[in-house]
Amino acid sequence: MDLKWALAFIEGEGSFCIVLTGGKRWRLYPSFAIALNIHDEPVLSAMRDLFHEFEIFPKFKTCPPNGNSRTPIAHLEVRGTIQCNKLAPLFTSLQWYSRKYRDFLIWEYALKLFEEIRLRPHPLCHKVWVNQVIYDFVYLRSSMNSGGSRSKENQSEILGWDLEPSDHILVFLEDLDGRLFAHERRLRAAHMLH
Amino acid sequence: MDLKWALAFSEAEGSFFIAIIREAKSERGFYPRPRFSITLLKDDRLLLEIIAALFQKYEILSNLQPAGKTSVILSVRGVNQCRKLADLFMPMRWYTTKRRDFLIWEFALKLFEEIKKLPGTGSRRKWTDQRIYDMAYLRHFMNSLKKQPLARKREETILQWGLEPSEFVIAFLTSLGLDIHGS
Repeated sequence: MDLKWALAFIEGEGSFCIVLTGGKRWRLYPSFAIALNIHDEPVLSAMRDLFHEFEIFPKFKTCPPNGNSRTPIAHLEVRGTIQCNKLAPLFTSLQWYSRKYRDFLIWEYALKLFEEIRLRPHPLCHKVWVNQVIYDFVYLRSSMNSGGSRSKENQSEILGWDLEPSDHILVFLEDLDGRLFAHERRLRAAHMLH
Repeated sequence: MDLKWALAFSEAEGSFFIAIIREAKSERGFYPRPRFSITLLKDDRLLLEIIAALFQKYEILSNLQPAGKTSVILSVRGVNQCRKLADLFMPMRWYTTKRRDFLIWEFALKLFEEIKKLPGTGSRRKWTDQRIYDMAYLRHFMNSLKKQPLARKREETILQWGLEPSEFVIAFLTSLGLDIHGS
């Protein structure tokens, strides 16, 4: 398996997410995941081996049938800022074809914000994770296609706070449409489509 | 885009299947046809246009049309077009268990080709109950989790005709390591 194959498959089955969990306090982290039928576990093993070549160490597990899946599944996840930061550059320079590219660009932008936080002297301190920071991540998350599928209630609760997204988030999202339009125009030209 | 990309994406999102159409081309009104399709949300129409353009380079004709209100479907239909696609994908490196569906589909294609070559015109004569049953039986071992309820119902109806699959069908499925009796 090589990166080109991996990305084509990921454009079909992969998920670039900002995970949001509730509980005593809100927790946010970047994640990339693929879940497949247990019969396709060797595909995920091959992808894990490929990622290992780039010093990326995904979590790998199998799960019994549950509310989301009627059959057992194999699950590969690259979790957290450090690991995801190694993954993103692998795919940045490759050709994307699907609209998942939009999710990827938002995810990549969120990664930069996660990285800024990680590099602060006390990244887990509650003074870092102020409501505005949480709101910004959740706002980005809600802009992704894959964003609304889980933790919908938590997401709605946070978006209901009396806040607005930071300017840099709005500028990024406004700029994103233009970037995607240019990307599609290049794709059409390269494949002589009108 | 190249074939390698197209196959990798097809392994994720593509579907190799035998459609069972309700038509009066056989005595009992069922008519199997080979198909390959990819269904995506409308936002990804461009991706399907690019795959269609790639297929066209290999002289494979495909159709791109809306599927419901939110989706768009690219399909390769008919024995000749599916054969060209099968010949492209057959020697390539596969990673997922969709390869098994593909192999069953390719085997069915051979049967479709043989049936097509049979002398005489009229599909009614060519599509005997046994041949339709064999196709439904092969189909039964494909895409088991993703079948549409209507298509599943047609497949089940045919499988209740009280026939047995032909020996060569059993032999082929067994050669793939499938548990025929346990299914």
